[in-house]
Amino acid sequence: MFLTRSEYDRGVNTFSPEGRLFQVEYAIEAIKLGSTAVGICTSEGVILAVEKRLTSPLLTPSSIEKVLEIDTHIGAAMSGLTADARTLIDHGRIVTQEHRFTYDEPLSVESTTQSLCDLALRFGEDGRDDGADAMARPFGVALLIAGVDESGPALYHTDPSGTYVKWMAKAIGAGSEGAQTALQEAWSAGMTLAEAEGLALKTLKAVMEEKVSGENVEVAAVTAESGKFKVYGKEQLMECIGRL
Amino acid sequence: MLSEGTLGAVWGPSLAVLPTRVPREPGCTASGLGPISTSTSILTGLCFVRAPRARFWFIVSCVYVVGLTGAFGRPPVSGSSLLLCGSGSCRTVLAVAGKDFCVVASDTRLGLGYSIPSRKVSRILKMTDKVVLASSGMQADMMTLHKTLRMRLVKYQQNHQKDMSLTAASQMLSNMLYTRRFFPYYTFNVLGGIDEKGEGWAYGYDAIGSHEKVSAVCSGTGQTLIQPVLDNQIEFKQQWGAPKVDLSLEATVELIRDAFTSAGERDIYTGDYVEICKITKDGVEVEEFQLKFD
Repeated sequence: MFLTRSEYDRGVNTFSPEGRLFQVEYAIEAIKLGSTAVGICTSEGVILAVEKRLTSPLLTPSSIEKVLEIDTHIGAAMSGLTADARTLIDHGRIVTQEHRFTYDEPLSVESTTQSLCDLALRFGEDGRDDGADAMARPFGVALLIAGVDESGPALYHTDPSGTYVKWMAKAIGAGSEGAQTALQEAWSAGMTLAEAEGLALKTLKAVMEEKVSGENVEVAAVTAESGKFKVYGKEQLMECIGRL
Repeated sequence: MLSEGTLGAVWGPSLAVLPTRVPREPGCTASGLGPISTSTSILTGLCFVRAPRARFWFIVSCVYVVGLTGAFGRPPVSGSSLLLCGSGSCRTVLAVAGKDFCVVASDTRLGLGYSIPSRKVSRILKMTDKVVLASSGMQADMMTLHKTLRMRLVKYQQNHQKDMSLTAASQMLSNMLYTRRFFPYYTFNVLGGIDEKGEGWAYGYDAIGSHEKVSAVCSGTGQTLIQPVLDNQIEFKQQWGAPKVDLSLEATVELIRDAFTSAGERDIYTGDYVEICKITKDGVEVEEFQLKFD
């Protein structure tokens, strides 16, 4: 793809003669440098599992957060520029709370995803009348959005182009190619949440360089039964790793 | 909750104060609120207005004020309820909920003082297949409210690929009314329908969005005549020891017919026709029923 690189790769809102937006494509490339994240959807709920890269033994592992709650029933795992993800997730938190205020009901997973993608697509614009700041570049992050709503558990993947797709199982980040193949082979429609939990960790383990420990992975689940999103605590995480 | 009566009383003094502000804002044509002491405002106004441009706008606003006073002159009920009946219609709306259905009804008379400009004006908005709204109060405000609601309903449907639920609609209506906290839509709404669990519910509102989830509610000029009957017959108030039974849809509709017939006997703003919307899991069915034409 880089063969055709020319002056068209500078402006975020200029198409190349071949009809491409290079800055968006480069942003998607940035995700392939990020740590791996895996999401698996079952009828009982959705599992998110992410790798945390601990670049130094002096680093405090708990300060790296790659799975965040958007609303009580929705959470997201990220890969890429995590700072960008915070902007997106902050936006999601506002949108879901506004929806609760206006309609006294939780926002659906798809509508939440849609609103994040609307924001992701706002690069290259001037600031807006509502005070939203202008963005000079696309977000360099992909999200796996997991949630439960009235139509059951759902997993969505968003990328810097503002596209979203619903998946049954999806991997993003540096190890995504290998992980996606593994998921494709192992995923089945009748999976339980516990099986999905095992598969997510197993997949992550296969693509990680370091040995999986309670420090360098994060797992979260949203269950259809409770309708709540929850990031696993230390104990629960160690139990899962023990079952591997 | 504020009733029509109490809100009128709250508005009374502030309306009387408004005209004295007119001279200070000669460019403001929206001084139609001031017919109460038009002559005072014109006199004080001329002392203030010297610039030709400002004088032009002041005259425009005076003509507007005089026009309004001429058209709606003597407020038919009392000075404080000028806005209520000034440009049309106060009347009776109600919603009664059953176990798995809800009935929303309204008469169709548009009353103005001692005259009846129209005998057939609908005040019912079918929001979705499961939610129906009926609004009493001022006709123009009702129309604007319903128009805005229709827009919001379509937007919600398009954004979320589903119809708004009864609870969502009830909260949205409350917020829409509260955004106009200091210049409210002069409407008194009742909302009825079936919720996500399939249960029938009614919601009663005041003009600024306070609301209550109930099984029977009535608003408008017939409120004082009908609400006690609903309390007694639907909620079994004052029927000590009587077993509480759920009314069937047919029995509820019968009760509503009787309630409107009775209100029509004593309330000059209730009459002509009643529109009765029966909301069940199969959708909304509308039936019409005639009242006295006097």
